[in-house]
Amino acid sequence: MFEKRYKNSLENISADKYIRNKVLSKIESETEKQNKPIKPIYKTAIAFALCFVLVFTSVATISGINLIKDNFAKTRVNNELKNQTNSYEDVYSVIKEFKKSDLLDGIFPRKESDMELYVIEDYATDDGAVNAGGTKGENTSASTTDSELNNDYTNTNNQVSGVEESDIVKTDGKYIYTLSARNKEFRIIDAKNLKLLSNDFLLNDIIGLTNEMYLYDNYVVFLSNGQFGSRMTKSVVLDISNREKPKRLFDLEQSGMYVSSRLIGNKLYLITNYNLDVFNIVKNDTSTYIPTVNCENFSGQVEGDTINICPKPNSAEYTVVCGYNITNGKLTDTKSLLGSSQNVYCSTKNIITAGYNWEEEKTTVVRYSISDGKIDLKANESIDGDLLNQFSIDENDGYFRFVTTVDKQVKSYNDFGVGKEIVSVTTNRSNSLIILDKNLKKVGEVKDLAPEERVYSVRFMGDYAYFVTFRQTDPLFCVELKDPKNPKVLSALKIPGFSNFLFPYGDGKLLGIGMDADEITGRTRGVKISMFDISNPADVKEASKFITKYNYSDATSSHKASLVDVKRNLIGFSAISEDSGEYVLFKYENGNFKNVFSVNLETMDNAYFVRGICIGNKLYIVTEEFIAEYDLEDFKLINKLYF
Amino acid sequence: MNLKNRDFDILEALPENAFLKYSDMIYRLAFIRTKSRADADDILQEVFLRYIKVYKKMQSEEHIKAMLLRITVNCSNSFNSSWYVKKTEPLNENIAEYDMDSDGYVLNEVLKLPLKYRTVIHLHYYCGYSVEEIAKLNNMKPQTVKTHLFRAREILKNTIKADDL
Repeated sequence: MFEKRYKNSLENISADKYIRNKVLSKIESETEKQNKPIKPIYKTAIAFALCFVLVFTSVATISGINLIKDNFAKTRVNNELKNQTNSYEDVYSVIKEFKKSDLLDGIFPRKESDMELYVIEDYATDDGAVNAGGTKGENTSASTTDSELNNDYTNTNNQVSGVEESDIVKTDGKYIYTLSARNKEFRIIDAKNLKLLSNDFLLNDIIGLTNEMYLYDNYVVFLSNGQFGSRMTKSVVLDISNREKPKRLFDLEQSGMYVSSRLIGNKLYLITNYNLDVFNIVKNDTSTYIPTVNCENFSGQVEGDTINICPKPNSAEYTVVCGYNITNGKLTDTKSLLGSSQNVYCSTKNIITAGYNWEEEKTTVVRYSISDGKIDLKANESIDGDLLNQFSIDENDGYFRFVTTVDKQVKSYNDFGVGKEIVSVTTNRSNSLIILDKNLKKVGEVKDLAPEERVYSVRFMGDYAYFVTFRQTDPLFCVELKDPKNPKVLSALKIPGFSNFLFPYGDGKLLGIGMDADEITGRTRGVKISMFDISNPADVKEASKFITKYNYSDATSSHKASLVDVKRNLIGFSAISEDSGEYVLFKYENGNFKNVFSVNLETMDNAYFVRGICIGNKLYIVTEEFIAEYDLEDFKLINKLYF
Repeated sequence: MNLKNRDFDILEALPENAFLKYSDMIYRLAFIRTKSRADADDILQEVFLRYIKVYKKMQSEEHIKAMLLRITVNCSNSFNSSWYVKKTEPLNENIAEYDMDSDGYVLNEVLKLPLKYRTVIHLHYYCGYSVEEIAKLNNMKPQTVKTHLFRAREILKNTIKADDL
């Protein structure tokens, strides 16, 4: 009786999984050390002989290197990235190390919680590249320009002109295309008479976590993480030449969770993080550790020579970058890199991926050059600190600029005889601006800006960088980058609150959308829009500000949610006050914001994932439940369509 | 305790395999002796690091088990005599109050016993060793073990009111 009860009571007492794994890996490595065979003498002799040969050959090569010094820059990438691997075995030998290393710690729990996040807020998890919708503004980017179409329409609020970003609402001036997160429906609406042309196109097999879409000519591309728990990102290309009957053309599938994507012309660049299930890796089964791509002309594991390995991967994850031609569903190129990435910047010539390494408090930056679907890995580098979002990265004239928040943890230890115990951890925080050349070598930097604050928004505009940091007040820094080797802080304007996003607004004006905050406590009070006068970079001024009654707006969390149309002088976004969700529209006239229009969106839920678009002199507000058409002259409701 | 067995496969003595088989047993003994899960974690690792040095000499299943338990006792002895344990006061992470009938109550009462008594109780009732075997494991005389066991039972009889001790 006692024996049984005692045994029962001990059943719950056992080391938890985390400790067990750690001890087990330690045991394995220690046993290996113990078992190192003693080398026979002749082996040593051979080793000596080999050394001799090596020394001689290397001396010979060194003398040769002087002649081919110019080629050195080209080979540098391979040296830095240690191994452009050639076979799956090379990859396996590196991945095997993950089983033992501390990199495993925390990776799997972290991934699981990420998955939960994906369920709750579908597409709020992207790097900020994923959300939102806005206008063409001065980003007037390439899109279909059919003479029949009305060209005077607003487009997604892209960061770089000519590089399309995905969104939930797209338009070509004649039709409006929407993707509903809630109902998982794709709709095509004729903008002229607000007629629903097609709405029953349910993408059943990718219905789980459909994110966003692209529009190119007569093609629509959906991006999706597929069903919950799936480890593949699936894109589906539709042919919409018949607007009433869209046709499914190709499925493009690649390993990993969706990070970001861009569309340049008809070339889709898709970036995913492929998280390795380290415990279930089998050497002979390459599908357990090599990324997979499935499309029209390729199916299976990627080639060994397209896989690169970062010198210090930040986790057991791949960044998989693939280029597709969406008109024929073919893979144009693929590159994989061991090490994850969170932020992606893309210009017309380069993709920059950035992944934060928690242990080193550094960001690994990788540059891929792209041209017409071909992807080449060019350089990589580690920089101090973490990036905020895609706007923290910029390319200008062959130089790459980054604004980072640097956290340096200072740990103080107390030695109690058995092990070292951390007594306190303090974080020293500051911000810096770093300029790298095309080989990602540091050229210039400004350090230690705004101690104890973190970056809230960044915008690079040619030779100037504007960024906002915040703790209690909001300094807007203006940094001159004319001489990349010697960036200068020109001014720092302090105002209460902060801006989450900065948009250029015509000549010498910068629009900030963010939150107002108490000067002393730093507590936020409401959505705020500010106009900064940047005509004199040395003396940046806040020309005007407008504090709304709203508590939250999608526009403060993603750049695509706001409509910023400089030509029509319109600023619009959906916002939520205590009891209602509304869509508001501002004009900036004579140095003041004017609230020209606001409309109740019927329910609070409707105030999320709202996009406003302008076509001609009409304003369309697209929500999950309805689309409404307004006249831009007198803001009268013309038509309304419930889905 | 027959420590030699001709059919014994040396693979079973490999530290990894021994860990998978005996980690719970070791962890529990370490927990009983230190009264702390965190310390038991440390001891678990230390035991196997010591075991790695001797595993090639193992001759039977029973040998491995006894060796590991012996190392655990030694490890927790040296741990208990460290500066850290002597000079610091543990946080009282007492398990929740149990009612008389639950199994957790038994564990709580065993943990209240002095170190030497609860070790003997654990080895006897949980690991199933006889008095002679416990004496060998702990490097004590059988009579001492008998005395410890007797006194521990006396205390437990009063607290948990079990008749079959």
